[in-house]
Amino acid sequence: MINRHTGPLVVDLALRLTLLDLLLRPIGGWAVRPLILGLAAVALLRSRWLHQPLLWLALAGLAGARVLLDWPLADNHAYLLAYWCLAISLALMAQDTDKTLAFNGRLLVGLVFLFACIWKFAFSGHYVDGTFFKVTLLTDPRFEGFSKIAGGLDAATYETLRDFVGQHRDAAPVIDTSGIELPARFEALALAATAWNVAINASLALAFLWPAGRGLSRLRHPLLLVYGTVTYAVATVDGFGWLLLAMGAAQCTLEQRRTRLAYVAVFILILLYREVPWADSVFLPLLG
Amino acid sequence: MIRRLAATVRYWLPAALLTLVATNQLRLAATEGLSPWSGGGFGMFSSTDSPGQRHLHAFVQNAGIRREVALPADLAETVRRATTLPSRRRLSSLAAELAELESGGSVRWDEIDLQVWAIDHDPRTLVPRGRLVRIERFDLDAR
Repeated sequence: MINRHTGPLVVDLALRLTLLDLLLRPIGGWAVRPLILGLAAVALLRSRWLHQPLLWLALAGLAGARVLLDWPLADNHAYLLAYWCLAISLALMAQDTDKTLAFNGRLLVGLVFLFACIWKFAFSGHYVDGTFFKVTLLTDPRFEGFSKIAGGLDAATYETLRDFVGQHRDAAPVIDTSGIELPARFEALALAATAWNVAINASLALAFLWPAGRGLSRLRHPLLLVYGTVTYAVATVDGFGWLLLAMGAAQCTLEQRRTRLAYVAVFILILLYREVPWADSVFLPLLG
Repeated sequence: MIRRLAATVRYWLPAALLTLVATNQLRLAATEGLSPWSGGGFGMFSSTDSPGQRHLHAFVQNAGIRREVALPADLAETVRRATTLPSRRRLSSLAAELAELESGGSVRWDEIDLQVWAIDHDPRTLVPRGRLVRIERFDLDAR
C-alpha cells in the first residue's frame, strides 16, 4: 500500500510530467485554457494538490470539455489527456495508487498504438505502400527541413515536387506528369520512414498490451524511449509525445532509477527539438 | 456483477472510454466521411486525408442557372467542421447559412448543393486527384 501524502512516490514523476505537458502545450480555447493552466501550475508547485483526485478529475473534465466544445476538430492529444487525467484521479482514490496508475498507463499506451496500427494497416488506403510519406514529406511544412536534409532535395526541387503533389484538381482526370520524377534518395527516405513507423507502432502495441512482466512486455520502456527520441525529432507534435512519456514513466518501479532518468531526458529532448529548429537553423545552413 | 464492476472501475474505465470513442471514430470514418485525423481514433499520420487537405464547394441553382457560392471568411470555422465530419445534419446547417447569404439577391434559387472533397494521390506517380467524400443537395423551397 502506498501512502499518498508523504514524500516522493514512484507515481510523482508521471504526475509532474503530465502537468508539464499541460503547461508547455496547453489545450483548448479561452474558456478552458486558463483553468487548465491554473490547476496545472498550482498542482506542480504544491505537493498536497498534486495528489488531489478532485484536481485531476477537474483536469479530465476540462480536457473532455475541450473535445466536446471543439467537436470534431480536437486533436488526439486532448482525448488522451482526458483519459489519462481520469486514470490519475481514479488511481489517487485507490489504495494501490502506483499499481492502478501503471496498469492504466500500460493499457492506454497499448491501445493508442493498437488503433494507430488499425488505421495504418487496415483503414488507410495508402500507408503501407509508402504513398503517405511520399506526399506528407512534401506537403506538411513541419517536415520540410527533414525532407531536404535526409531526402537530399535542394530548395528548387522541393518546391517543384511540393507544388505538383499539392495541386487542387477536383474531377480533373489527366495531369501532365512529364518532368516529375522522385529522386531515388527521397523515395528511399519515404519507404524507410514507412517501414520504421509500421515496425515501431506494431512493436509498441504488442509490448504494452502483452501481459506485464513477461515476454515482449519487458521491451516496453526501451521501445517507448526510442520512439520518443526518434519520432519527435522529425514530427514536432510534442504534447502527444510528452503524454506518452508520462504514461511510460508511471510504469517504472522505485528500483528503475535509470529508466526514470531516461524518461526525463527524453522529455527534455523533445522540448529541445521544439525550441531548437535543428533541421532548418542548424543543418540546412551547414549544407549550404 | 455491478458491484464487481464498480469495485474495479479504476482499472477499466479510461481504457473502456478510449476503446469506445476510437471504435466510434472508425464507424464515423466509414459511414459519415470523418477525417482519419479527427475524432479520437488515433488515425493521425496514417492518411493524407487530414482536415486541412479537405475543401468544400457550394452551388446554388434553379431551372436555368447553376452558380458556385463564394465561402465567406467568417464561416471558415463552420466550413472546417463540416469538411472534417460531413454528416448530413452538419452540411444542412451550413447550407442554411449559405442560403441565407444568397437570399437577398435578384435570383430565386431552388436548391443548394454542397460537395466535400479530399485529395488522393496515385501511389506510383503521386498525381493528385480529387475524391468526392460527400455530396448533399438541399431544397431551398422547403426552408
